[in-house]
Amino acid sequence: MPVVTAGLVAAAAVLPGSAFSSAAFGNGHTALQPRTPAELLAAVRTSSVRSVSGTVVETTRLGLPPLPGADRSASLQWQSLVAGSHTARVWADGPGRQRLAMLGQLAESDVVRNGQDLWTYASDTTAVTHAVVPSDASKAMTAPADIRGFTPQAAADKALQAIDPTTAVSVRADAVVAGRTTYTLRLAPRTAGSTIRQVLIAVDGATSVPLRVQVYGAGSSPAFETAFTDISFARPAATVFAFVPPAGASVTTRSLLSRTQAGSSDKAAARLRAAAEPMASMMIGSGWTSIAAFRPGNSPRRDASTATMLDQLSTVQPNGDRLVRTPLVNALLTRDGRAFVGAVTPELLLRAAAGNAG
Amino acid sequence: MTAGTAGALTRDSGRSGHPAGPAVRTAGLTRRFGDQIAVDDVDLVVPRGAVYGFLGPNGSGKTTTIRMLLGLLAADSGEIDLLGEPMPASLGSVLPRVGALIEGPAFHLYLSGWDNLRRLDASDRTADPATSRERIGTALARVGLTAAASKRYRQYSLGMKQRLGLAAALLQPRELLVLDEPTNGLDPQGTREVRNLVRELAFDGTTVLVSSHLLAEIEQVATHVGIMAAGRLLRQGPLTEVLADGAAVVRISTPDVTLASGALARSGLTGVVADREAAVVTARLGEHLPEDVLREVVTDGARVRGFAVERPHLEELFVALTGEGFDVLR
Amino acid sequence: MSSAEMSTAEVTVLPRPSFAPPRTQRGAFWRLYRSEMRLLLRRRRNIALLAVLAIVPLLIGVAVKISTPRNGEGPAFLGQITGNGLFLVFTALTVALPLFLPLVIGVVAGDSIAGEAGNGTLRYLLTVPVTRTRLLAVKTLGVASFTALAVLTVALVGLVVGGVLFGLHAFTLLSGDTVSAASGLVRAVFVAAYVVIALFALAAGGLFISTLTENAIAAMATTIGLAVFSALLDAVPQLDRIHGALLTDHWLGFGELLRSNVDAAALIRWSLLHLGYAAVFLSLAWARLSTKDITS
Repeated sequence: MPVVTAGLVAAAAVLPGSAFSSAAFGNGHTALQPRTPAELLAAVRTSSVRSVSGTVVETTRLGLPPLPGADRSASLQWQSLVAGSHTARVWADGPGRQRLAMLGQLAESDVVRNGQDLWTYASDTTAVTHAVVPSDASKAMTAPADIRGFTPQAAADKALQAIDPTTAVSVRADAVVAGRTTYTLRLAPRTAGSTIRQVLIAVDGATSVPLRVQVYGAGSSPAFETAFTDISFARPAATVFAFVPPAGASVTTRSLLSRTQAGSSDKAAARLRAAAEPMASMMIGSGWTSIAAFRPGNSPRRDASTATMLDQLSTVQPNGDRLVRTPLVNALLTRDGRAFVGAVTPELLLRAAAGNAG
Repeated sequence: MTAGTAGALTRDSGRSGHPAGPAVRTAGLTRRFGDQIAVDDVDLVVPRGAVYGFLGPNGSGKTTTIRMLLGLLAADSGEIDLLGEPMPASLGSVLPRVGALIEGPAFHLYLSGWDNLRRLDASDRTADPATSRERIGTALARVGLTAAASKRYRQYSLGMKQRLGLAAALLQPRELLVLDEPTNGLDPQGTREVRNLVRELAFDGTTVLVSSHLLAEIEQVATHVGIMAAGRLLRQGPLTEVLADGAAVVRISTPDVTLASGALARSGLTGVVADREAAVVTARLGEHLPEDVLREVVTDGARVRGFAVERPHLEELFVALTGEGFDVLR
Repeated sequence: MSSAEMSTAEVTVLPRPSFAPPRTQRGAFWRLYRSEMRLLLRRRRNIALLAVLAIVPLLIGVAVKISTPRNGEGPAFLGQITGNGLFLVFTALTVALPLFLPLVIGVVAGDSIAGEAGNGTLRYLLTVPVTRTRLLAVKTLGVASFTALAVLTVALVGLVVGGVLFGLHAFTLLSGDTVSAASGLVRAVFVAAYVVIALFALAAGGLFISTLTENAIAAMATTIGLAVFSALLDAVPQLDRIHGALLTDHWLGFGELLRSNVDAAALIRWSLLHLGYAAVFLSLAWARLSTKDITS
């Protein structure tokens, strides 16, 4: 009998998620008032919450083979983000004070915005960058391109911006995320051509803050998911945002473009912008079937291992173009070096490539 | 103090504070290994103060029995009382009063003899650390290992290892000593020392359960014997009684062979054999008392040169019970 | 008694010698524990294992001194050692955790009971008697102490070598914030404590395995295999759902202690997981040992 008892103890102890966490974060799951989609969207947009801190877990399941070291990496590079699961701590105290710390095993990458200062720090290289944020900069610009869409709020922002007449919107009040009762906003395309079946956004019942975004492709589990696993709306300590570069660190100064500069047709500004974002891109189409088109060019990231991976993943079209298919995102790499990426069917990509020759 | 009439120095059998029952008692003790029965319904009785010779061929179940007595093996069925307390339930309070040497000595190779004893003494929660050095020293001296105390066990000879095992059993005054093959690997001198040690301990009141295959040795020290074969306890009791179970023979050396054999036959003895050339008459003694038999013979007018009652040696009895040969029974 | 009485009596009955009823001595358990530690530390093999562990930070320290590594190369923190010797503690632990420490703990824990059974000393301990529960308790404590000693060896040698070669300075956390050298040292103490608890789970596993056999070498190999197997499962992405529950998954979680905002809840959760593993292994070991037939 002791063996049986021990086995039960084992089961209880070894399944960390099961009993522990759901009990730990209980906040009294009260039933929510029914809301219409319009009411809920309005509440999200006008949410008055300024202070948030918590842990975000982002998971991408694109069915791609695992990339070496991608899991648990604190790196913000794309190799890390297209596969596996990542955890970050986020703190926000209004738009001017934010911190995001990507947690890796024995590593961390931090992005800290404190008023005009925008710092990044990567523990593996101890590299520090510093930028001064123009006072009129948009919210999206204050974070490096790589981490846009990482947090549930940012992802929800993107998804809600995409709502147009081709979107079917509905609301349920059923989910529990990070121990809080939420509405679930469901967005689904009315049109064909998108690989996205639905986007579910869990919105906190009390504060109307998006707590989870799930994007479903063909599969039964979300191909992309970002969610708070714990969240607090208490104001974070000011020290969280006070970043001082470590002694002896080499600080690289970056420049950020103000909204007016970015919007101008000034050639110099455009060049600067191209330099800031090496994959200068354009969007084709709109809404659910929009496609990003760009030239990877001679990107230094296209090293041998990337090439090998591409060979494994892609199928070669009759005309020599390569098509990479995943449950959510498809990509077409043409022989002449252009790339078309979108959450759309391969047919749309091929059509886009044909329509944008050169 | 009372005086007895038995003609020997004995000890009072009662003892205050402890029940007077046997030092070891088992009832229906049984243990199987798979479908082989190693110990089969054994009722062992070792009286207090006895030197109990536990005999049996290899594989007869002696060691399995001893291991069950000491709580190393669980019995399938049956009861064990050690020093009046049930085992293994009272293991913690009984075993400190029991010293044991089980299937040869076993110590840490890289520790000295002294340190090995210190290790065992430290693990005995009833051992007084204040007297530890003294007791270890005494135990080593008692087995003649004082000179080799600081040598690593690895460098000990077989005999020295055996002696260290005995010393370990003697770290505390013991009420019961269980010695499994204590003279293994010892030279004749060492064997003799062990025999004397057992006698000495018995005289001090320690009950000794000693298993051995050296029957002659057991015969010299044992007051009681038990004989096992194929898992069963075939015979046990005081040595004299067990040996008496075998047919004792009267042997009369006399020139008057006819007279003597006539007297023996009339007394009811069986198997009377008269050897005129050797001038010897023999007969099975049976239930008769030797002194009565002799009186009859002499009364009938036979001149007696010599009179002896010959009992079989333990070895003969053992072979008669367990069979000849080198076959290991299981 | 008079000599006249003696002469008339053919038998003199002496009083039974009185055996003092055995009484449990005070502090007996700690005496046994000290004996267990002496047994562990008198063994040359175990000292050699600790020496191997001491060499890890020494070698890393000297190598870094000879050729300064670039940031981002090699094991974690390697590039930061030149700036602060305290990092050598963490680098050495990171290097020793996947193999060297499990090896040492596997040997000592695997040997703990199987070794005694194999050379027969177990039967003598049990007939002293050391009750089986008490034996398991003292073996557990002994193995736990040796685990702590092994981790301390790596950490202290790392601290001394790092301090001597590179000095101890203000400490840069993983988050890029800087704390005082003393605060860094305090964090190092917590890191060592966390690693001890993490490795204790493996040590308890080794104890359990050690009750299953009389072959010490097999028990050692199986214990080390347990750590390696868990690390292997941890590296298979298809099993990511169970990764969080694996024995070795959170061993490097000590990094949490080096962040600006330490998630104490996570550290406690992981430590409870490790202690949970240990509790399971120890109850299995107890279930096994307390019913085990000692035939060696």
